Amino acid sequence: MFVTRFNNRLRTGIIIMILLMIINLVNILFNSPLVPIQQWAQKIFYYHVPCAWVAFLSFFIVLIAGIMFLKTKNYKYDRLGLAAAELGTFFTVLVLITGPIWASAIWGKAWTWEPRLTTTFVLFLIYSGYFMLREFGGAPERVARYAAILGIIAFIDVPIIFISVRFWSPEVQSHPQVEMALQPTGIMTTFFFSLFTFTMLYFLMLWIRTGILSLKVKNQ
Amino acid sequence: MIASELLSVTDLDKSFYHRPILKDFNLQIAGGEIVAVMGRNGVGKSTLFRVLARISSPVNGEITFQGRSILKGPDSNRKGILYLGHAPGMYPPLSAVENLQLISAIYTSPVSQSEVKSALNRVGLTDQVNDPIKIYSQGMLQRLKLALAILVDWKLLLFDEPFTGLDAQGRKFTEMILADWKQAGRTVMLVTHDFEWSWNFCTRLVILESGIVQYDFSPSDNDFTDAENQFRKLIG
Amino acid sequence: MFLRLLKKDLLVEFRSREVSASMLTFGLAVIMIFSFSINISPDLFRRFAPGLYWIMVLFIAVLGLHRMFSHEKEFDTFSMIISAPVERGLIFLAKWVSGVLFLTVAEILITLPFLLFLQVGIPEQWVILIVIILLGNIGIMAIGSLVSGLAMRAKMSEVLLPILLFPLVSPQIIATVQATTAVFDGKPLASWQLWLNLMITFALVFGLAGYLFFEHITEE
Repeated sequence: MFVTRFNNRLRTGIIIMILLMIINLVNILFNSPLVPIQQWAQKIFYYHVPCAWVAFLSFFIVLIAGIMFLKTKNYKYDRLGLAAAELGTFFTVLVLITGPIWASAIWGKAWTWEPRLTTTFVLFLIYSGYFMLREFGGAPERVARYAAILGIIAFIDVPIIFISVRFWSPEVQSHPQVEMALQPTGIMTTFFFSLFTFTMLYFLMLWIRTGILSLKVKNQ
Repeated sequence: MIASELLSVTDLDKSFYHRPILKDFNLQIAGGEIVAVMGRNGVGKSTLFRVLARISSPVNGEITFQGRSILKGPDSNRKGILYLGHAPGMYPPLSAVENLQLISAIYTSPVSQSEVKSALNRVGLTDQVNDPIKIYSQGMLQRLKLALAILVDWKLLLFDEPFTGLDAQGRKFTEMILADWKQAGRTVMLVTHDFEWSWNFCTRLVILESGIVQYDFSPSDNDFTDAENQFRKLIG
Repeated sequence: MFLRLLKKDLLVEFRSREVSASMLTFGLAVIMIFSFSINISPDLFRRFAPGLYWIMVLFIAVLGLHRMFSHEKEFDTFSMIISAPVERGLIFLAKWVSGVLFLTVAEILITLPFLLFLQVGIPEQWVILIVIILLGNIGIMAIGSLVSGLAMRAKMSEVLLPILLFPLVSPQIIATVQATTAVFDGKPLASWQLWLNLMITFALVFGLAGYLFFEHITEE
């Protein structure tokens, strides 16, 4: 019963998502103006920034799920936290891949210790540890609590990391986000559509992943 | 009965690796009872004790001690519960005297050197009391735990297998001290596998199976042979 | 009660000397390796010295954090302590303070060899340097005690601890290294006030987090 209902909604969701992604791609390629100087390299920003947004949104959900789990001890929130942590890490990896692609075209070097990129990288490391803790922590009842705490302290650490890196690396780099205001107006519509698409994609993935995790528990 | 109720466990659920150990577990303990908690290995006796001592957290349920919740209330609500587990629960590099002083200070209030010495005498630990306990034998560590129970001012003692590793003399000391506590009307829960001893000494035998209390005997109201047969059937 | 818990932690260490002895000998070994592997002029080395110093401190801190709960695990003493009618946050505070003390004791004996063997020399503002080192210790041990509690019961805790700790502690390391460098160069407080504030914030935030979350960490 649950499975069939899940399946039907899942199918609809995936079809809508595929359509959205295609429209988004067409929009980005043909429906937005080329930015002076950056030219085609700028196009990756329609993917890079939504990925970063979704990753941070995801880690925020890990934080909320962690607080809720510690309060209620309901494993629903533990599964939500795990799913969000997985997706957040996945999108973090995408950010760390797309960032250097853009940077090597514009800055001429793939990596700089730029605050946003560095914070994302540190978060990626913290969450690698998070999955190791999940894996090696022992009994799942305890691991759920520990993961919740780690999710919370990781999020608390984000602003501190960001501030410290920002003042540590003195060179102020040009930034896709910062320069957006200077660009032709046409790019904003495309950008917000892409942001919307990625947010939808994220919530669909989160829904599927939590669904799978709760099915796993039911079948145990 | 209700007036003297000391501990009340209601609908307690505890799982380990998402496998239920205790399921809708209920138990009421009145002041002055000496309760033997029995059952086959892995049935959850030690887990129950660790949950009652707040070492292990349950999934659901409520535990009240002296009418106050020990799961939700402040930590001071469990003042009066002393748990003695399988392990010594003391610091290997410290001596017996130091361990007893430090731990009683954390549990209730500091105790004097002479109080510690007299407690150690009562359990028959007179040599090596100033040596680090990491060189102690299992029987000596067992006696050390008993000495702690003499020093700490508890209202409910949770004693997991009090006789393990003890020689005949050690067992005699332990039984004597337990008898003193029974005489004084103090409340003790202990895990043991010795049915006959429990029947003769304890005021109540609680036998766990499938996550709940399966049998709850009171030796004065039941026939020993009947009870033992039921117990043996369960243990297999 | 806090003082009783602290007394217990100090007495156990005083009897076994495990933490301080291992920190001290390891620190000296690291200094030797530094001097063998870095063949540059003392003037140039001075620029690296603050960074190397804090790398060394972080390593010896990890060594100490591994042993933080070791005596309480061996005989299941940790259960005895958490079962006592004691607020669990206080157990964290005692661990934190004792950890800072052990690290400081080790540093007292290591810092002078570091400055002399590696020909760094003693900076003029050495009093301020001591304050910075103390603040650094307090921050590292705040997050360290918290993470040590999380890793304590895990399999492979010796791997998990640094993996979790290093990214989380990174802003603190940036701040302490920057502040130490400023003091070595004899700069006025105004130029590194920011780093001082960051170190204080870090210690307060994670000290508070440890105090609040230890309740959920202690239980098995």
